[in-house]
Amino acid sequence: MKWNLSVDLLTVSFDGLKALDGLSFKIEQGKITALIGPNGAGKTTVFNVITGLLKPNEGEVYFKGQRITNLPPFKRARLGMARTFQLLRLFPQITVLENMLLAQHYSKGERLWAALTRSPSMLKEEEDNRKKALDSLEFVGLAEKANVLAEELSHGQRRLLEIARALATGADLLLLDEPTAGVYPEMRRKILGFLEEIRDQGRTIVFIDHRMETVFSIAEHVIVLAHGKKLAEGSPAAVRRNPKVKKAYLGKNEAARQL
Amino acid sequence: MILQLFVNGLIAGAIYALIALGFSVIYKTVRFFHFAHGAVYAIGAYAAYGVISILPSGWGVGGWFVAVPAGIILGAAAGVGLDRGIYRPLRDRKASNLILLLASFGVFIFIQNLIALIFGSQILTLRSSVVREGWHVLGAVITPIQVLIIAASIVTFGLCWWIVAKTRLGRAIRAVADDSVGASVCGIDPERTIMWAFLIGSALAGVAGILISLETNLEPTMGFNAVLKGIIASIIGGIGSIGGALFGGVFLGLVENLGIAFIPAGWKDAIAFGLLIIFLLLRPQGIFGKKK
Amino acid sequence: MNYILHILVIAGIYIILTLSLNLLVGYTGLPALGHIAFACIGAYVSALLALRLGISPWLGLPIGAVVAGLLGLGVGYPSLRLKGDYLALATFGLGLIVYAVAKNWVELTRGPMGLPGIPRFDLFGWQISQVWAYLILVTVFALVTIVFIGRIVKAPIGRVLRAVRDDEIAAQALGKDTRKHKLMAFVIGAFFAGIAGVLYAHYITFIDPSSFTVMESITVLLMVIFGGMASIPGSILGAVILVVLPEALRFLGLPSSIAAQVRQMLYGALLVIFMIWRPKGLLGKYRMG
Repeated sequence: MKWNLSVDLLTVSFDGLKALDGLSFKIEQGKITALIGPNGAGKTTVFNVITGLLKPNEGEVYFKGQRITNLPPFKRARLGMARTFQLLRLFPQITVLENMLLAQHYSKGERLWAALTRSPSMLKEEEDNRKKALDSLEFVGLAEKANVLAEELSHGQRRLLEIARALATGADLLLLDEPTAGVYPEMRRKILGFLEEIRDQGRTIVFIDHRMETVFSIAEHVIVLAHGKKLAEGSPAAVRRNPKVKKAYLGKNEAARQL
Repeated sequence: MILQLFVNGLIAGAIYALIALGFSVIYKTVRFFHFAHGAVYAIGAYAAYGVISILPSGWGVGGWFVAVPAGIILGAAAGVGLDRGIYRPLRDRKASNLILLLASFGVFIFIQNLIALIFGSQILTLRSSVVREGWHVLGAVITPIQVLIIAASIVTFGLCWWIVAKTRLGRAIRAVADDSVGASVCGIDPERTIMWAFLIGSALAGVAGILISLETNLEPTMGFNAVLKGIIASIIGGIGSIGGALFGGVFLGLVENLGIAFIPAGWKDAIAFGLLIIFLLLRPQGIFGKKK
Repeated sequence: MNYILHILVIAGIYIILTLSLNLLVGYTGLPALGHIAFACIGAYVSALLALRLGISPWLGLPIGAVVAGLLGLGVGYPSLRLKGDYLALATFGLGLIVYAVAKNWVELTRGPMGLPGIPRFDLFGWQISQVWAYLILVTVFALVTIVFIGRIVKAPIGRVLRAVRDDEIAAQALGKDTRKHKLMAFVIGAFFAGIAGVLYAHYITFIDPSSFTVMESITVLLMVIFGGMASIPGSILGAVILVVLPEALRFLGLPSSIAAQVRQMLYGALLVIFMIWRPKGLLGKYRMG
């Protein structure tokens, strides 16, 4: 088993309250892992620490064998880590296509000199990137919306765009925070289908979700958090049977019914 | 010499603290930089001046009893009017703090120039005709007007503290400052509370404007420096904090005036701006503020 | 006729200023409220080099612009920690500090007395003193500014600036070094404002701190907002209209003593009106907040 990402004894405190408490886990490459737990368990906090938006009080983060605990967020992204947000962070006042183009790691066009001189190589690169972006939009079915402002998309389309954009960065690890929240069932099935295709392409996915059916339908591995600690870990079936997990979510009977 | 500078610093500090106090009370409820506070300050002073110059000279001292309240009331009315007419529509639209700041700037510029148009750009005075000599205390001179300024500031601060700490309105202000949605759930009307905050804060600005006019002069641009120093004092003390306004104002006044013992007087303002930058970069919440 | 040409020269200088500020405010989302300070630096550096060291304005221009750009770097640093209205306040304060220095460092700048007799640009010994000739000079620089900034904003790097403006955290999540881009915007914006300052100094041949006050910064900001945020035609429109409009007022027969007040009242009113009615401006493509 190859490990892509690992966190080690992460502790994050806010004003004396421990959001994460000595949390450790490893993420296996090429698999879909679900990160679940009741509200306030620390799931989004973990994502924030992994991506560098939050500095842990203690602990380390490793990615692709490298210690990244002190790297700024943009450098971690460049190492091959992409992340979506629970409350969607698209760029609303630019078009869908422009949102996608921003995902590309430019070598030339984003340099000032190239912008000023409009060198042929830069223009060619832009052309290529445009094609790649449209292909990605095609993949998720948003190609006709390419020139629409992102703020004009429906909620489900925005979720799709966020995933397409994360994919377009070429990242090996996708951290998706509630990728199907607020979308209608048809769209949810579509998105989950895309996630499996992305995994089949060889990428690693970690996603946060609170809907059990979603988790159990595509996750190959599940990590359960509660109160900032790891409560349980294992295959979906094993986690489902775990009495601690049942108890953490609701009362024993309610959880049993849910699971 | 140092003592004189210290006294000057206290006087300036008292005025800055008053401006910062009004500014902070307003900021507590609306949470943006109401730059037009400086215009309200000028309105208070010019309104008092206007009343005095209209009244026949037979009124004498009695005229002050009309002019001063007139200035304060007009200042308060202007502040409330600004909120109702301009800020409230923007608030309803969920305008960002930056948009509110820019709109406030626009209002300030408009009013400042309107004052210049009405009263002319020349320097005016609001002093009483008798120029009294000051008292000598340990080598420094302090005039009766200056004592009045300090006394008025202390009284005003005490009054304001009492209102905010002990009355229902004060509780409403603090609730809205903390969480306006939560406050409305508890039956507090945020808009009415904001209106009261503007009333109190703008009245304070009017008081400060009148006090300073007794000490120095009136000119249409007086509001600019005043509100700027008020903002700087608020940032230093902690924006939205009553005690912070007092501390920040006095601190700024003292540092400015003691500072010119070491550097030429023209740099006085630069000291204030420098403090602003330092605090914004290193401690934007101020000495007594809480980190957001 | 000369009067009209003069207005066009002033409009040209303001076009450069407005474009440079729009790069900062409209495209990168950095509320720079003390922008005229950069023009002040450019103007004083070039003027002093010419007056004290006899350095030709052709050399003074790039030097003034570079010094202004360096100040832009200095002003840019707070932008890395502050946002929105706090950043606006900080840049405002820094602009005031530059003004205070110009006014008080009398040994260098002669303070309020200003610097008279600034030499003009010369072309092979012939002084560019005729208004029409200066108009050509200013037009060239305005066109250079339009092309330069136009290319930046249309290229991928311009997209990154807009991403930084719209959501800095999302931009970082996409691997963009947002700090570098913000500083870059400040340096370029300051550089071009410096150029505008130099052009102004060698045209009017007299500068003093009163040409570079807060009101001037607000005027340029108003031009950006009015004409349109993140729009190059918008900036040109904004600059031209707000230069021509006050002059038109003068033709209405207002005595010059109150013309200044009326002009500023108009600016104040426009600022409020646009914030309430159309914060993105006439031709703008970006709404604040």
